[in-house]
Amino acid sequence: MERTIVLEEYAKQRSKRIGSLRKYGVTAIFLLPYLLSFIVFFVIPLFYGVYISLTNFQYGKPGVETFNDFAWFRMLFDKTFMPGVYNSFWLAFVHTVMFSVIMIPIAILLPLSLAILVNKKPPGFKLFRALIYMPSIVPLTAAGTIFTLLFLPKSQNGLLAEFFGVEIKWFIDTWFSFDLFGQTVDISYAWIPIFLMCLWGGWGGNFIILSAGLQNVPRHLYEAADIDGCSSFRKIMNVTIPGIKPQLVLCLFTTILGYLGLYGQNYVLSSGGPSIAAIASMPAGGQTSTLMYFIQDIVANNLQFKSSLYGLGAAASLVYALFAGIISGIQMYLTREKKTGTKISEAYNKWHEIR
Amino acid sequence: MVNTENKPVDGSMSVSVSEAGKILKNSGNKISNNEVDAFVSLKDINKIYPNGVQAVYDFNIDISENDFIVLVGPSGCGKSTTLRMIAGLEEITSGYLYIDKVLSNYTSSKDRDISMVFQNYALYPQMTVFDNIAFPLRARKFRRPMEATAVKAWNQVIDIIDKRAEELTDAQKKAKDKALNYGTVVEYIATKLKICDEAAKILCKYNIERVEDLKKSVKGVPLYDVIKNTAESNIEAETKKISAKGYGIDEEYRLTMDGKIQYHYVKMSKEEIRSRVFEAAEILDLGSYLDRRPKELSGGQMQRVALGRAIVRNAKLFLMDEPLSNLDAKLRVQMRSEIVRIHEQIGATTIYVTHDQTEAMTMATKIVVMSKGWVQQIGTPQEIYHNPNNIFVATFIGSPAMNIFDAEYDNGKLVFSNGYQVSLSDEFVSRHNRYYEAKIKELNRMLNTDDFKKMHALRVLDKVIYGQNDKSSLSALDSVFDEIIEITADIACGEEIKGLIADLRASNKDKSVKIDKKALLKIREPLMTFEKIPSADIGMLHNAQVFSKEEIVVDNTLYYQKPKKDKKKKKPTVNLNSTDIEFVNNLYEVAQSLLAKCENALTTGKHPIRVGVRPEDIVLDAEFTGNKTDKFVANANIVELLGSELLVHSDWADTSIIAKISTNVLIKPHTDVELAFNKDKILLFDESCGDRI
Amino acid sequence: MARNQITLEQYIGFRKKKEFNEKRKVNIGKIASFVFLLLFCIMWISPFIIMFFGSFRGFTDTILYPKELFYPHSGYTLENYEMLLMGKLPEGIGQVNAVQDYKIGTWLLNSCFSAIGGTLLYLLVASLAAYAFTFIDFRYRDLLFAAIIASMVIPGAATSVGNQSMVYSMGLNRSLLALIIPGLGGVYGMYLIKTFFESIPKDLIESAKMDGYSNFKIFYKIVLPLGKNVLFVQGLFGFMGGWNDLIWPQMLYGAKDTDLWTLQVGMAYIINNSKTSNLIGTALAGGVICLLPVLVMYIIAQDKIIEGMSSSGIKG
Repeated sequence: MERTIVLEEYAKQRSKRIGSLRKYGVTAIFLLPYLLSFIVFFVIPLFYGVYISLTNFQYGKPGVETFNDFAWFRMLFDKTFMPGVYNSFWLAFVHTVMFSVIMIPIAILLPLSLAILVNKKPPGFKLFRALIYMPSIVPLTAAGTIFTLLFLPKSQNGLLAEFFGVEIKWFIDTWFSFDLFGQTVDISYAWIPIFLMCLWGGWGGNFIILSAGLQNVPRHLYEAADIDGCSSFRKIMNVTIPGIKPQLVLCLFTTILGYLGLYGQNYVLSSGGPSIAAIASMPAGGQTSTLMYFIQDIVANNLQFKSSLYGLGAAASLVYALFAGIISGIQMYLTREKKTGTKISEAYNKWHEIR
Repeated sequence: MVNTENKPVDGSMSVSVSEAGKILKNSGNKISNNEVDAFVSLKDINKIYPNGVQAVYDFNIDISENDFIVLVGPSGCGKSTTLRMIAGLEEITSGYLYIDKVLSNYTSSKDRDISMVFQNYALYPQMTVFDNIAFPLRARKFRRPMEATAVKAWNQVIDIIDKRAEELTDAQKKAKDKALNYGTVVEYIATKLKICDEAAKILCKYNIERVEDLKKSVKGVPLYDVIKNTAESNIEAETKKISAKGYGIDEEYRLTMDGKIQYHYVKMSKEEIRSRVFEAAEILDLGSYLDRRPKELSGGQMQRVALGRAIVRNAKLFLMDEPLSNLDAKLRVQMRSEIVRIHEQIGATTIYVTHDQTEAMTMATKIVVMSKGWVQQIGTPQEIYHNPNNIFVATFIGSPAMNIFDAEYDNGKLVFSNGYQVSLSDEFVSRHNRYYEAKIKELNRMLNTDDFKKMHALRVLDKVIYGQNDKSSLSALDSVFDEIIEITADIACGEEIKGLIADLRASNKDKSVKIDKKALLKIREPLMTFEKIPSADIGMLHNAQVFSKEEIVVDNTLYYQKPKKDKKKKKPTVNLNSTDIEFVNNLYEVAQSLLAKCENALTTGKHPIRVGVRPEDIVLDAEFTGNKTDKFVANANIVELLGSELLVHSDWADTSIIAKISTNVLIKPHTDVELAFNKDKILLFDESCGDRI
Repeated sequence: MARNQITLEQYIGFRKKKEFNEKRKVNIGKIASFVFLLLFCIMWISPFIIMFFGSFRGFTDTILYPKELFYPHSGYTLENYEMLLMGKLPEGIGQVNAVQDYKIGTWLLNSCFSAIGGTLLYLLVASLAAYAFTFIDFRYRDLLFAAIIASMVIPGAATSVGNQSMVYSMGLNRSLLALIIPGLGGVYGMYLIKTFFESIPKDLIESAKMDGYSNFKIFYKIVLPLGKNVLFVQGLFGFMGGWNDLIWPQMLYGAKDTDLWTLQVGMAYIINNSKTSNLIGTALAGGVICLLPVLVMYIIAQDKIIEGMSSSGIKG
């Protein structure tokens, strides 16, 4: 006998079924394009990258690779395994860290002080703001042409050489050297044009964000500080800086990630060179190499590396990502909002008792 | 620097310019005025913003110590601007501000010894409540006697181990009950034993847990002796050092020189900051919130912190800028009484700004009612409520607002629009006549001043210059010139104008030729220099324009000032500016028409008038037994029950009236009620300028 | 009107001011910052000017008269642009020492395709997703969103190598689509669009539902018009990002597939081949071509771009 059901109950269940089906259908249509892209081009590659770094994967020939006993990672961390790669990777690391240490404070403090000036609202401040941001929209390559023109050697009529008689061969000569862990590190003059290019166009976003933050600092706080008897320095420390803390944290975050991933300036201006004889045949074997340059050299610029060292590129990118993640994690930890505890109210209670 | 030792100089003495500079330098730019006997005194304070809008006109007030002044008025009336000028956040355009007899127009706000509570609290978001309250104490230096701190500390140490060892061990035990860190133990002991932090720190270092510990030997010497010896040697060394610098030490360890206690400016000590913040927290009941940040607090708590920051410095003058307007209704009432309580407890002079008349009435010892930049009335709440100066004050103060009727005054009788009549007492009739006589006298005096005569002459002249009068030949203008000469005959520049006109007549022999406009403008020049018009006069005319029902006819042919054309059309500009131009350009007209109306009122004894009756003075005819008017019947449209009182809304004599009836009789809506006015409380206002008769 | 014409108001104010003998306070801070900013801006803008004028300087002038920056010795010429765009070599220059041909036209089209197409497609995909995350209730919605946001802390480099092989496996490695599609999973733009959508009153959506609007209709009749501004700004940033990107196109097409290069990759190549005095003008001209689209866009929509950047700082 066929199962019976009260019609009302049946109708209820049916419409519920249809309703939820329709709802999930709609959700899927809205969400799927994005979600699919996210999974296919973010989540899967993340794990694919890990997989590649653990095998002798060859670009263009997927499917035949086998586990290679962490060979790529050993190249990066074991000095004796493949000294050339080891040296060039860690040299790139040292370059990246050193340049970041110099550049990041500048890329925060310079826009901050300019933002404070603009926030005084001198005549034409909107124009100034637009002009100051302008270099940041310039493509690296376009900016590169200008700085190339400036820093060409005398034989090629570089502007600095022509106007100021500077005889330095910027992209060839070594500026100075120092010893680090028993290794000699040569610093090329080429870092100067790279530095100037970053100084010119590397912080516009910070400037705009900080300006906006400054405008949002409530005016009555300054007035209260006036009445409380603050000097202008104290006002900056107690009102301005705390007032733009969220913006400062954001800027710090993006700037740190940005300069740890330094690549384009070096590629356009110096092509990572001048090359170092000992590691010239290694990826990023030059005096202006960076971590990103190392990775990019393997997976994009050099076809030979791409076919032979592809897994190394994947391993290096993971190490780099981990490093960058740790650094920004530390930064987030240091700039977090600190909990206040109950110390003062306990002290108050004791004080109250005594009274 | 705060409280410089320089004595302020008397600003009223006259000196040569070069000398004046020197004197000012010696006094630290402090000028006092001994004629000012109020604690805070504002004299003719004006504020004109750079865009030409005048926010405050001739503000005058004397505030004595411990007063609670409330500035009240609708938004845009200049009350906040006035407060901010007193605070030094806004520049004073003109006038004199004395705080504690010292001329303070140009002292920076931190040197005025004021504290302020802002509308949106202005708490530093990154600081805890404790730090917020302590901030004004940390931000500046205070004048303190110089102290021999080390000597004091060691002496206190000796005192403790000699006489109060038990107290010490007791305190130490208590402090360690809860595992607090070192800083707090020291602070606790210091507070408990009433010694300085330094001494407490030393005592903590020796770790005396029981009294017997003092007898315990350290390397063969009892601890007691160790401490005492160290103390004595330290005291000796310090004393030597200090006397080498030429100072003496008095019994309270203050440094003296030639018998006088020496002062210096120092940051406040931690213990003093602590105790002062704790005291403030105690007053405001903030003890358990001291560790929180502002965003973890409710609105009321934030407001209390803002108050705490204001009171912690013991400033002479408190300023509060609409401090309760961001709170909800219930909290507002609660904080209102809180602020009054704190004011009574601390007794500091307070200036409080609000747009809420209830706040003003309940808190103030003195209310200042403002409108459009003018002070309308200053007085105690009772005065303001019962004897309002003019129709604005009458309607602004009191809730529900006063009922205003348009009526006709007819020789001692009030005739309402529906024919209802109220006969007034003889006493009132004579007051009415006195009022108009005084007003006429006043206006005549005003119109006879040089400035108004000039305006009159200008009016005549401008009609020719800017009007559509194309017959501007000399023959046509002869009569005009004669008129101008006649008007300006008595004033200072009369001769000059006479001369100019004579020149003009001489140079234009041909009487039919059109006169050059430039020549006419030349006559205009001496007329354009005005002397002082008393602010009271301008105020009266201003009110006449604002509060009268009748539109003042704007004569556009007159241009003392032409409205500026807006350069930036995108931004909406404040309309106030242009109405002010009309006001200024029509001063003479306003005065003239006012005079005409007053004369008419006095001679005919019949004129429109406005009658004001407070809701509680409309009474039930059956219940009220005092001096009342004839009964009238009104239909109750709406009846609101407010506990013990009823608000009866009805339409009567073309006006919607509200009666507040305190009764047990329940009036049903849409029934007829027999009402009457309490005759003693009827207020009458002049129709043309809004003043109370 | 007469010279010394004043109003009573002014008169009352001024005479008292005179009595007080008050000196007008000059805002020193404002003036100092104006002067400093002016000098700074002049310095910061000068590279643009050098680039612009340099690109109109002939080959021979560049070598012989390198100091004459703004007024070339033999006048302005279009030599550099002709060489880049039409491959026309001026006399006296035998051979450009480059392995690959300069295919500026192709690169320009590729860049346009990548920047415009990528931006439009991303806006569509991201705003659909943002709509779902804001206005549609489904299970694990907030968890899913939080997971996506959390992925922002992982630098792009971690996925780029995997992505490169992924694209290869999908057979897109010789297709321009590879410039666009991987970007569709970008988080930051979606996040900003969602923060804006959150500010749209929920009542509005609900009342539309009561009126019988479907989700799609609400999306394009109500939400999109309201979010016009934020989408526009996101579009601008997306365009500039796509136009200026160097790393990803380089990874995709490497050294050989010059037909697939974008302008940035090509320009980088040109610069690396133009580091001699005679060719630098060509590089500058290439720089101008590269810069022009973004510059024009910036000048037109400068307000919007700055505003969008500001709000990303306030919200982010």
